[in-house]
Amino acid sequence: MEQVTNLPNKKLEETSLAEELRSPAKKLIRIEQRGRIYTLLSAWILIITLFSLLFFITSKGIMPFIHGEITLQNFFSTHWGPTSAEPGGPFFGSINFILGSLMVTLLSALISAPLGIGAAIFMTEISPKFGRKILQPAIEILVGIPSVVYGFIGLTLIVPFIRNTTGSIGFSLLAGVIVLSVMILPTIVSMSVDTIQSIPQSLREGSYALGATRWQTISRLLVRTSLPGLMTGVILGMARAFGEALAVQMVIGNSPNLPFQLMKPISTLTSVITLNMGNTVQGTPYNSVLWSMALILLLMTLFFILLIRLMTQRGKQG
Amino acid sequence: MTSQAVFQFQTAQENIHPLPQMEQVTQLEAKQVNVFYGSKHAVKDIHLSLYKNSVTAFIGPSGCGKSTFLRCLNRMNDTIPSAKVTGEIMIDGINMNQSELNATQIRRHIGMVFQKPNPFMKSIFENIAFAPRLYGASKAECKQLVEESLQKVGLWDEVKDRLHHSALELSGGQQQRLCIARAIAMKPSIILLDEPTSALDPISTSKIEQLILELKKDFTIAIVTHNMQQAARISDYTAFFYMGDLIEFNHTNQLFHQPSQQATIDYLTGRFG
Amino acid sequence: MNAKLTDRIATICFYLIAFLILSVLAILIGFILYQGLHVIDWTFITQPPGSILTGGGGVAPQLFNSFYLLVLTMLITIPIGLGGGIYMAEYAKPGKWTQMIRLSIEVLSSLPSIVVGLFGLLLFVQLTGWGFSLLSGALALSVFNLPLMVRVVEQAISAVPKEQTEASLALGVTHWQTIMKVILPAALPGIITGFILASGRVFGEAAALLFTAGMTSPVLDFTNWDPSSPTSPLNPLRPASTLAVHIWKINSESIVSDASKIAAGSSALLIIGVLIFNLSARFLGQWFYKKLTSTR
Ligand SMILES: Nc1ncnc2c1ncn2[C@@H]1O[C@H](COP(=O)(O)OP(=O)(O)OP(=O)(O)O)[C@@H](O)[C@H]1O
Ligand SMILES: [Mg+2]
Repeated sequence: MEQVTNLPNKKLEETSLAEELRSPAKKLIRIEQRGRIYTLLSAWILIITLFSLLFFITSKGIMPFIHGEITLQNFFSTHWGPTSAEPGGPFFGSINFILGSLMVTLLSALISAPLGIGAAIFMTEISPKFGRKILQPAIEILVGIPSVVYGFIGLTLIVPFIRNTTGSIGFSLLAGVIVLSVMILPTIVSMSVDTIQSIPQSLREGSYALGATRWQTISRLLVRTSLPGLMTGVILGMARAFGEALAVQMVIGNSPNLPFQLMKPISTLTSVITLNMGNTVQGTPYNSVLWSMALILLLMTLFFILLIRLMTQRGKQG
Repeated sequence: MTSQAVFQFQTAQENIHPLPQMEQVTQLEAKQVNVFYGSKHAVKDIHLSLYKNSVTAFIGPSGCGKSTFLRCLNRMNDTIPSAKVTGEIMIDGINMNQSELNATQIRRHIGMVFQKPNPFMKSIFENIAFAPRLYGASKAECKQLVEESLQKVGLWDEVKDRLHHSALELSGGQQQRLCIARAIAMKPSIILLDEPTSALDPISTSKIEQLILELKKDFTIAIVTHNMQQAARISDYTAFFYMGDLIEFNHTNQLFHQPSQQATIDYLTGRFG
Repeated sequence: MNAKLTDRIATICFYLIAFLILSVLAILIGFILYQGLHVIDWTFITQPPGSILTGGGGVAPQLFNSFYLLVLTMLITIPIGLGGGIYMAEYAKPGKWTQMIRLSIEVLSSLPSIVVGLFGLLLFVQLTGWGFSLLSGALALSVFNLPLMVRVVEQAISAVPKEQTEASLALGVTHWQTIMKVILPAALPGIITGFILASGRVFGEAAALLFTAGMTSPVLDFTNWDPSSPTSPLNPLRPASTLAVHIWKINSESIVSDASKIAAGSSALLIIGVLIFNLSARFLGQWFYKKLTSTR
């Protein structure tokens, strides 16, 4: 603290300011601190929630293997017979379900990715006005439709349709794929729109100036430049498809088949968990194995997020 | 610039002070003020005083640190994480550039108006009453403050019928005067203006210049401007900044007619900047 | 010539895709409304479900539960979401800790809702001993709603021009008061829109509720508003099936004779609800914005 007051010509009227500054407004500071603490706590809640979720699901999921209720070998087999009394049983083979989840995810992404990216290109390059006025709200409504409603529509529209046209029972891998591809479409579209829009206009103009047609500009320039972003959208969609439970469960038939025939009923991780979690007794191996499946769902989510992070990093570099 | 120029600037230091002694009262005195943005040295060792009820203009080429220095004077640089301000800024016998002093209290006494008019997205009335109310002004006091401040900036007659309309409905010049009204409603002792007219048309500009001359009676004013005529018209003192240095500080008349530094001459004659 | 032809064909393809998506949406909505609208009448929305044998009845408790659960969830998530969003937009400094929060937001918002439901089952249903209850359900819904809300608030705040903050700080208003009195009001339109859209999601959610709020609803006495009474609709510790859960339940069990009728009616109700949320989000957001920036 220096008190320099010996400047010439300085008639210092002692105002309240100096005094006021020396005695800070305690009340203001207190309010300020309280606000900071409140927001910090809120942020902490996010982290705590995540970690307790990771902890609970993980510990519950690896429990059956640690306690020796189920062997890994048993779990990673194709034989599902949780109540089987056969020798060597019960069987908790979950490979069919893991493959089932992967299969519906991949197939629906295969359908949805071109459609979604196409729609995004339509909205940004072909007809922005129509896109913004009509397609954008339509996509937003699609996002909002609850998954049970998708399931119900699948059940009453798609399953009978498949049944009538093919003569199979209708509940099938195909039905699940159709429902999921509609459900993940909005995710892919909105992510793709964001990416394509962020490409500077000058790049497009450069391409048109060279005499390229619109399609050439789109296919050679836009899609290539925005590839990481487009892939991120597709992966986000896949993450959603992989974790979707009810809509899928309602239409795929829930038989523990290997998912290699489009018309056959299959099961996924989510459908098995949904159907059996309520009907099995806590602590039995049958119940425990469902938690292990939940852990696999969780790990897959983390894997998808990792993929997305890698994608966005590539996008930044490239 | 060349090393020769730098040399000149350094020799200039003793010429700047002391100013011809009149009966001014020092309102604020900056001593050895330095500002760093990270490793960038934006303001270098500045010594400058603001005198009570006078207008001081800061001029100089773009990027020379005028805004940065101005923002030191009410601790606005605290809001930029990378900025570090050293030195002393004396006001009323206390160095306000100490982190343990509460910057918000200082800003109540030293108002600021920005280059781009930035009224709150609130009504005209609220724009002015907002801050005083937080500091305990009653309803009646607020009402009076609003009228008083709007009168002072000459906006009262233009807006008195629509006090509760959004401030964003006003024209740019009106918005800027509203911002000034908002600042003086806090009854500060000093008002800092950072290029307050650069976004305005000539008529609004001249209104604000008139206003500044008017406000000088009650407040001490520092104004950053790129408009040399403006500085000449309204200021009593002028400080010329160049590359973070204060090159010359003098009575406006003196500085414009008998500049003592080559850099000042170059600048005034439009040879750079 | 060839390039031009390809360009033509490609353009047609893009139009086809747009048309396809629009027709899918039209079919979805049209189908649901066609199937469901004629089921919806006064009885349907004011009566409890009929017995398993007779069928009939309505979905009044489910409808009530959906809204009540939404309110409970919002009561939990709005304050925390605001706090978290403010923190991220105003206080968070770049660094490890902030990255950690961002990662948490990202992971939480991409978790499958069934996994969130299972977490709720472990923590809120079993560990706390609350059993299947509205409270457990609301907390589970909060887990996946919270990151959404934080994002909404952060984005809305970041969209407020920096000049507004500067103006307030320069008047000697503290940072916190600036946040509360200047930034939040300016961000309100965005926040409201985001919150309503999030509400729509919560309203239609089922998977996270199956094992937290449960799949059944006790007989409710709609004249009893004492929250501690087991038959009171307000009792947060009672089990509750929502509209969405109800649709799933009657479809997967198919015991009730008129299951598909009830499911169709409930789906139509859900869709109407979601559409209302969607429209009001747009409308209210714009209205608030107008109110903020122009004449009353
Ligand atoms: N937030 C910041 N971070 C880093 N550097 C900054 C920041 N603000 C200003 N600078 C740098 O500090 C120097 C001085 O900037 P300042 O804004 O004070 O200049 P100025 O004289 O006001 O210019 P102008 O007349 O264009 O407003 C410039 O070189 C600028 O690039
Ligand atoms: Mg400037």
